[in-house]
Amino acid sequence: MPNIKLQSSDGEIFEVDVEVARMSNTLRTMLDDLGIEEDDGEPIPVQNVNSAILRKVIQWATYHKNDPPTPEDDDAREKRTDDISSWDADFLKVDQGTLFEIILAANYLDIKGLLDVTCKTVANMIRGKTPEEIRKTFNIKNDFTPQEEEQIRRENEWCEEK
Amino acid sequence: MLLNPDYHKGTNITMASSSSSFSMDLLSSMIWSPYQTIQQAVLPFYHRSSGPSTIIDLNDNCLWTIYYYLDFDDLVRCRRVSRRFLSTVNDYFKLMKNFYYDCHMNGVRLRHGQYQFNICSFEFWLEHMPSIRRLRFEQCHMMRNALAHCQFNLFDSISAFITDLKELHLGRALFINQHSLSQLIHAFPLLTHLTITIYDEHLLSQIISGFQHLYYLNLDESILYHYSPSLRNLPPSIRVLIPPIDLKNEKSQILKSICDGHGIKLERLEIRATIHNINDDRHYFDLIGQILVKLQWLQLDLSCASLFNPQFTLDGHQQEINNNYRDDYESNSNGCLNLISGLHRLVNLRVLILKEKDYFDDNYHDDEESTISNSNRCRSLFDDFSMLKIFKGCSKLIMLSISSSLCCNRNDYARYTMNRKQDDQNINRILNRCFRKQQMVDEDGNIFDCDIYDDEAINHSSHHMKNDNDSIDGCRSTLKELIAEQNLDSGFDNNNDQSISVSKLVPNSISDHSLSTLDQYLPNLRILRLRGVRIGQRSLLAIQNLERLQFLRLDSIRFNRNEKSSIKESFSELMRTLTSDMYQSDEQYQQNRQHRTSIHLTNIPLI
Repeated sequence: MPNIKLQSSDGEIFEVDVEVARMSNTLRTMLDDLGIEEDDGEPIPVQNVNSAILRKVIQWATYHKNDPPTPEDDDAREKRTDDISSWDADFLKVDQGTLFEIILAANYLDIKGLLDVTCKTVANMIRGKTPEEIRKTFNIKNDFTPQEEEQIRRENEWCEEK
Repeated sequence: MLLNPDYHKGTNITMASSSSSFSMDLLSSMIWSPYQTIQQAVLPFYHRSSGPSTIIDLNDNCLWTIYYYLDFDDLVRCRRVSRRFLSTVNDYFKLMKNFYYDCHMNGVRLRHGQYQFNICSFEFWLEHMPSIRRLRFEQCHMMRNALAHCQFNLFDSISAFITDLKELHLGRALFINQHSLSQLIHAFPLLTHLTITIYDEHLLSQIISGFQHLYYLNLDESILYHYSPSLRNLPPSIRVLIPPIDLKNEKSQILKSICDGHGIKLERLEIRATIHNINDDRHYFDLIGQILVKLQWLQLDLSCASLFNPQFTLDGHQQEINNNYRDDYESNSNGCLNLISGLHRLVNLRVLILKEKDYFDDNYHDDEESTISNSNRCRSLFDDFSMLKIFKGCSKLIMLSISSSLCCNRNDYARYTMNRKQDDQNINRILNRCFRKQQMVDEDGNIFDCDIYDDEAINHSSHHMKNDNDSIDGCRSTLKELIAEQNLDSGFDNNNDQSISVSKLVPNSISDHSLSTLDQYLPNLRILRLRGVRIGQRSLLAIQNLERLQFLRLDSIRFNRNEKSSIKESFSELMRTLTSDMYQSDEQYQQNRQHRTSIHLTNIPLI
């Protein structure tokens, strides 16, 4: 298979299979628009993603290159979060900062499958937790005033589990 | 914006802020390399110096994708985490279109199982979710109960806050009357899906004339009499119809009304009917097979009238079969009852669900000695050669579900077998994949029938659909001829050249013989549910050979008496084959994961 070069934001160049690169809708659009089918020496800049994260993204895309396409519309996507494969679960055993970086990279490169699996992982970290537990899990500061907090509590009153 | 001239050397770039020079730079960059054009286009929108430190640094789109995988309860709690969460959750609610209403939103379960519905809270959330397109109330028993006793007109709130409702699944509600219904029709004339329980025939006419874009109409729990004339006026968009139970045995008139109008385009039909006269009612199923040719999904819930006993009619045929077991079964089939065999003409059928009302005889014992004393027991309506014909005719079936009443002792059935939500979810997931693929392919204009994850496509051999008008006109003229002549051809189209290899084993049920051909006639079957049927080694072997099977439920089945000694081995072999991929490595699993079979066994005599 022909290869192309991708250049991370910190200048590192990665040589990847064209089919792997085309898993990114962003890169696929670029390649199609510019009529690039294989490496012609110039690396494609992936300005928003540093080398550590781009390496992870390429690793994920290489492993999943034969996967069926992820449905685009919300109707067709399954809302399950318990179907993360063991390989993906191991792959995403990283610190939170790296996980969020991968999410942003997947969003920027428009790799639906990677965005879904990373967001499912974060959703699993939120599910069933109280607001305080969520804050603690993600190190978030409570920036509400007491009045605002009371207002939201009242709005939520009938919805939260009794 | 300036482009770093060192770019081509492979070093990083720096950004400047002069937007006025953008076009000039872009032009000059194009001279150097097309990649620099990409860089120019991408940089202004995506440049970020460092990664996010916490979750709240993610952009809205990423947060919304996370929210997509959370339940409503979790999202509500997230609103209390921080301002960033509050604003993005509120925005998500505003934008979301595909969200099913959950009664947890607005109610509280009190002691003694009562449920209190909070109207103000309901309106608060509707106000926060104006884009919602689907409201589903009927799946929550507590909410159903509350609506059944509450005068509050939900349609008032729905009309006031929601802008573009497409699906409403409501069930029974006290406030439904002509006034509230006209209010709903006025607010949402483009409604496409409606589930509603009504008790007034006028309301049905109002619904059908008011919602002219209905695709799905579910009146399952309604109680209506003499409603068939209204069905002539079903809207042109109708594809799915679940009519009320036919209490007055007007099933032929109902069918005729459906076929007289746009109902002829139905792709899914679910019928609950009572069999009164087996010979007359056979014509009813023949009509379905000949007229509703577009059906892809058919569910039949059949029961027998108290005057009618299928045993009387069927036992003679069974004797005949047993006497001639050495001959080809097909040669016997012409003399048999074949109650629903007319359905074999539904060549587009992909889902067939057959349910039979259970008839229990607690004195019944399933052993050789008591066979004679049990001779008066009821027999299954499906235990005839209909199945064989249907399998041969409906080769596109991906789901087959048969719930039969061959087990006559109440203890032979597993309890709580009817409502399995997990089953429904798994089955829906498999079906959604298959139907979604079909839709995608249809839009492209190609006619292929294959699973979404299958590489190979199977050509439809000879059943290309005509255009709508031709097809409808043809069906209507056929219907007229059939009704005029009252001489329906229940014969079997012998256009299938395949021959069945007939085993010399003595069958104990015709179902066993029919099911033993599953792998030959329905190799694309993904979902198989069998309840209360009697089968043997041949059927188990056929199931074992279904290479695409993804879901199997065997529930309260009986095994042939004369095979009892060897059936355990056959059953073990079946289980071994279906679970063999569980022992594969992770990589092999990745390759085969779409074909892993989900197996569910309940009340099997061997285990």
